[in-house]
Amino acid sequence: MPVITYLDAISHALREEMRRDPTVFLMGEDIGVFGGAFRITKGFLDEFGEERVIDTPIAESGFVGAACGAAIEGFRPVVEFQFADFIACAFDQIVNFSAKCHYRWGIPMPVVFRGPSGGGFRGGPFHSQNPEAWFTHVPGLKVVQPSTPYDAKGLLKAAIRDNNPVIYFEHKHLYRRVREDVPEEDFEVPIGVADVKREGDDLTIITYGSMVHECLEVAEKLSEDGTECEVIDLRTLVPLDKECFLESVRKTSKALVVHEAHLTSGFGGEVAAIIVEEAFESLDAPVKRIGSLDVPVPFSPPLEDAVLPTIEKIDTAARELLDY
Amino acid sequence: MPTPVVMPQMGESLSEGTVTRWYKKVGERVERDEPLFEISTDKVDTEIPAPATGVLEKILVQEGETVAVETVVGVIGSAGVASETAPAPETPSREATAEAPPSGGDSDSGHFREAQKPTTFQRRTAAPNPPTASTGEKKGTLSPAVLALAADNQIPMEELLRIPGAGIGGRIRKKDVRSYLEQRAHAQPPAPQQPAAGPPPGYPPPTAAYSWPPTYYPHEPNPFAVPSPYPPQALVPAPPVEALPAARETDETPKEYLYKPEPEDTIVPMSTMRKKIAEHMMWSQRISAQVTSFSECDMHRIVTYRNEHKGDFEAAEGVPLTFLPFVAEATIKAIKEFPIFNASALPGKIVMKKHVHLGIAVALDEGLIVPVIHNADEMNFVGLARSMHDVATRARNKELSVDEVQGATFTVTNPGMFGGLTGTPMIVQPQVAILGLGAIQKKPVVIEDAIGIRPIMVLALTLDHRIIDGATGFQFIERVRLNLEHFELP
Repeated sequence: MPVITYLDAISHALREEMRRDPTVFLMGEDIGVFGGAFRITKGFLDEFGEERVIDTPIAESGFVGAACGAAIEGFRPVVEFQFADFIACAFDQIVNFSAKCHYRWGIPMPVVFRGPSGGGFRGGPFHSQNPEAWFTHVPGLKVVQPSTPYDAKGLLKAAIRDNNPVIYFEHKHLYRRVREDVPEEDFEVPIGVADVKREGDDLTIITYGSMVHECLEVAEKLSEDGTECEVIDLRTLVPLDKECFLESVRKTSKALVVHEAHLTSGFGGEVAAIIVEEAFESLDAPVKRIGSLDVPVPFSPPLEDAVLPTIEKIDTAARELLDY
Repeated sequence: MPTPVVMPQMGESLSEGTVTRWYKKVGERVERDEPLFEISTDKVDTEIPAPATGVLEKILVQEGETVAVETVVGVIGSAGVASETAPAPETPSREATAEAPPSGGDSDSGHFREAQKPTTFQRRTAAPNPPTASTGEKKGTLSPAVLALAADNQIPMEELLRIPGAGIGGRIRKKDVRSYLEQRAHAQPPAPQQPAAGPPPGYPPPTAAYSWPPTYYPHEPNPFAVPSPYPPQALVPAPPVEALPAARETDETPKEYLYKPEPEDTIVPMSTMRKKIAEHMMWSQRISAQVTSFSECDMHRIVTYRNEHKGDFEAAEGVPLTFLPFVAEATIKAIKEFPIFNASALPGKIVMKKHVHLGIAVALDEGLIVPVIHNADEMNFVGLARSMHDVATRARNKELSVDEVQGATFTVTNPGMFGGLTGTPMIVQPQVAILGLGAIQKKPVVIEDAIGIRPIMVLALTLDHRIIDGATGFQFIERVRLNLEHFELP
């Protein structure tokens, strides 16, 4: 098995799916000639031709609409937003059209929206957002957010094969930072299944996306002090594998929810509410949440560090919970 | 700085009040201590003075609305200053406050360098807390997980509270209970009740297969466990005593019994007082077993005395001479003989009260209020007369304080002042009896085998049959009658 980066994993998944299924095609800004802003589709134009690797104008609402039309006609388009922040331009097409197709007309809508999201690389307020909560609130959309190369590849394949619109948030900061052995043979990571990334009895940390790595690091540090944290990577936000974290919280009695997205109305609130509703009798401490401060992500490096959740912040919160 | 105006706590038992009137409009200037709004509570209606000088900036609770005490009902802003906008909501996380980035660009000061430090988090003292073994206060901090673990292991509450807690502030964590259980299992296997003498009755005698006392394996269910005297339910906190509101919800009148108003009807909303009376009366009827006894009392001595002395009395004492203080004194005297009439019923218990706090029902235009004469048993006739006049007058002027309308132990009501033979009064909870007075009317009565004309008042005594029986009731009402007929005139 080759060791590949998170970015390679996404690229491989796209290539393999395009080879496997002629109805899969790509749309996005600068994905063809330029090979994508992050070089995910480098060489795709040569291999698959300009009918399957389509450079679009800077008009998200337009090309998302076109992709949805193609999906109705039986194609499986994968739309790349250059940055997940720009997905807001296509919001209406996604939430009011693609999400409703199954319910309103009983037709499949096999489209994938890839959104390179997240901060931590001094990208400033327009290139660092984590907009998953905008979409988890809309029934009819599936929302996935892988944290490792294996999950990134397996989830993207599952997303492309799914007959519903899937929003696939890939964390930019993980692109070249995380490497993993990933099998070359075909596999899927099923949508809607969380993954216990580390087992422990003292505290459940529920997280997803890039924060999985921060939380694992905190768990390692705490382990040196004799406490074992269970780290759960949700992987899919909708549909949510709540039994996975409920079972864990029933065991540990303490829960910390961590995401990079802003705290207020973030998805962590949903997780915390489910824990309190369904595992209240098992709780030994309040459920704690960590997210970004409620300000746009600043460009200034020290300010960005202050805004995003950091290992120090997670560590502090975890210790507070353990001591509670 | 805007000053919040709150619904005051008018007496300990009150939890809510209704704003009946605002004396000021939004934007009007108000002086400190000037009446700002009027409230109506379960007990009294009163004016509330402004807590500060300024301009009434906001009215948050409109007339007619009922809110809990301490609710902010309005805001007084600084005098003459345009209203400040509401302060921005605080960022919800603790980190946020600690981490607010410095504003402004004065990089020459130390601020900028300070901000570049990657971590400025104040860790809460997370050092292991010394285990504290105090009991009592920790009870409120027991988590569901700890309670469940204790219940599963049949740890009674007293024992649970003795477990040393190593959590923040001495809190008992699930972890602490676990290690306690482990320790307990290892250190001292629960001693059988008859140590070493043999198994308790009902257990098989020792055989080669097993010996007595048995060996304990802490992780296996103990086949010889003696049932704990504390059932696991003992750990569940008792339901709050004020269970009434919850019950009330299910007690609404079924729809089929409700009147459907016709177009020509006039609909008037119930006042707060009316609603409270209605509620109290329904509950009184429901929670006690009320029966009423009657007695005819010959009032001619008292009527004669009063007719002769009412002028002098008023001149000397400053209050009119009415029949009520006579009845009050006669009643208090009877209560001293029959103290069960100065009691309250609790589940399985009767509470006998030391002093008589006499409630006097006063009819108002809009309802009824029962001011209380505290320690009426320590007053002489003039004292009773003066107190009664005082509270009745102030009740009509709505000047009573909350304390003056609560705590009665026995009530006298005098609907007879409006005529009428008598009535069957209803007990004011949580008292156990009430004495009602009918009108004093001249009637032909038999006096020593002759027929004479006497002013007769019919006494009606309603008592709570849960704790007082009819015989006692008759004895009591007869005692009141005799006390009145043979009143030691002042």
